[in-house]
Amino acid sequence: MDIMKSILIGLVVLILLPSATLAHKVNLFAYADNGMVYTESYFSDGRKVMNSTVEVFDAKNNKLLLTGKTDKNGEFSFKIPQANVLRIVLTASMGHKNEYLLSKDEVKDALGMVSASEKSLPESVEREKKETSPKNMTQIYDNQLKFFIEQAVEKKTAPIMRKLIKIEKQIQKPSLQEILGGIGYILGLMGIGIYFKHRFKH
Amino acid sequence: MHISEGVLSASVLVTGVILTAGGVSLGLKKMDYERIPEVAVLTSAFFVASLIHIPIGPSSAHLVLNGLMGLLLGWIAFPAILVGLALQALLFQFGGLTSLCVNAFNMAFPAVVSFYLFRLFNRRYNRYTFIFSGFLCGVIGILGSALLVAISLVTTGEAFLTAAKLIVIAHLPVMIIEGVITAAAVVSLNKVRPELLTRKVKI
Repeated sequence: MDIMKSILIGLVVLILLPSATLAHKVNLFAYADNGMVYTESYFSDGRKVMNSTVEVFDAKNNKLLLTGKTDKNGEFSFKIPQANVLRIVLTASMGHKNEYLLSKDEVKDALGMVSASEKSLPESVEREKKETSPKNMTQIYDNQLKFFIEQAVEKKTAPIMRKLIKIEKQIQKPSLQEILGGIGYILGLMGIGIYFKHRFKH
Repeated sequence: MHISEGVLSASVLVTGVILTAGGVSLGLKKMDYERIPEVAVLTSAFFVASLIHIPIGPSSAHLVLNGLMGLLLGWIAFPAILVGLALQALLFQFGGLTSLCVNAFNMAFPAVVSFYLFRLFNRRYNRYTFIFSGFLCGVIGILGSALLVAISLVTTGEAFLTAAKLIVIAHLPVMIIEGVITAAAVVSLNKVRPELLTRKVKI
């Protein structure tokens, strides 16, 4: 049993090595903002997935809406094709595939923001300067206010969005609990195997 | 090396199930009572091995340890690797669940080949052929798996030659590292527990 003890100790040491906790799966994250969908792809060791196919499907009827390729940063962004649940599928080499579902709410939110901030400030101010009646003066101020508020909110939520993506990425890594759980299952199977073999022997 | 969910066609998946079922039943027959703890330890080693990542340029690969498993377990590597892969798929989502049997065959078959290869090389014991055969088994484990993965992917449209070249080249460093690990394991086992290595081939 001593060789097995040493193998087990070796395993534990390897698990605790900080660098040895990553391996083979391809991850895909997507979020919708302002009429566009931004996707980021990488292998679970952090390496970016470059030059790989991304396909966007309507999740309900499985119709292919558009395809593209990830750039050298592993990113691919596209304009939202329609206000439905979007299924984004990434196909990397060597048989790796993953998908991400964008909920209808998220897509609709991103589209909703377009109508307000689509008009850039100078444009809307130009247009409204032509109408100079008092009624429209308040409209001008309203739109300006709206624009500035949206800018400010976007500025504040960008770091929150980045943080959320970071947390999502961390959830994808195999945790120590999962590793110990897996080994526990193996030992359990071993116990069951020994029990049954023992019973049938006698 | 783990093929994800939704990549392979149904016919490949079914073939994988049939082949793996055959291998697993053979393996379970040969597994006797006293070997169960050994099998459990090696399955745990296999389970954790995929977490040890080897960076190679644009892509990444991980240790598999199927050469060592095959060398020690022979056909029992089939149920052991199947269990290891199932847990990896369920707990870490490495590899798909429908492609579980295909992945199992791709990794377990080269393991069985290593078993016979090792015994073939060691009919006449010689220190250098012994170490070399350990190294070779580590290499064959990865090389065989890479080729089988390429064959599995042929039906999905990735032309066999380009896929094979890509996968084999991507795993060359892994082959070397696994060869070294297997050779080292074989040498230390020989000192401590030689009977693990010299089991007679049961047919």
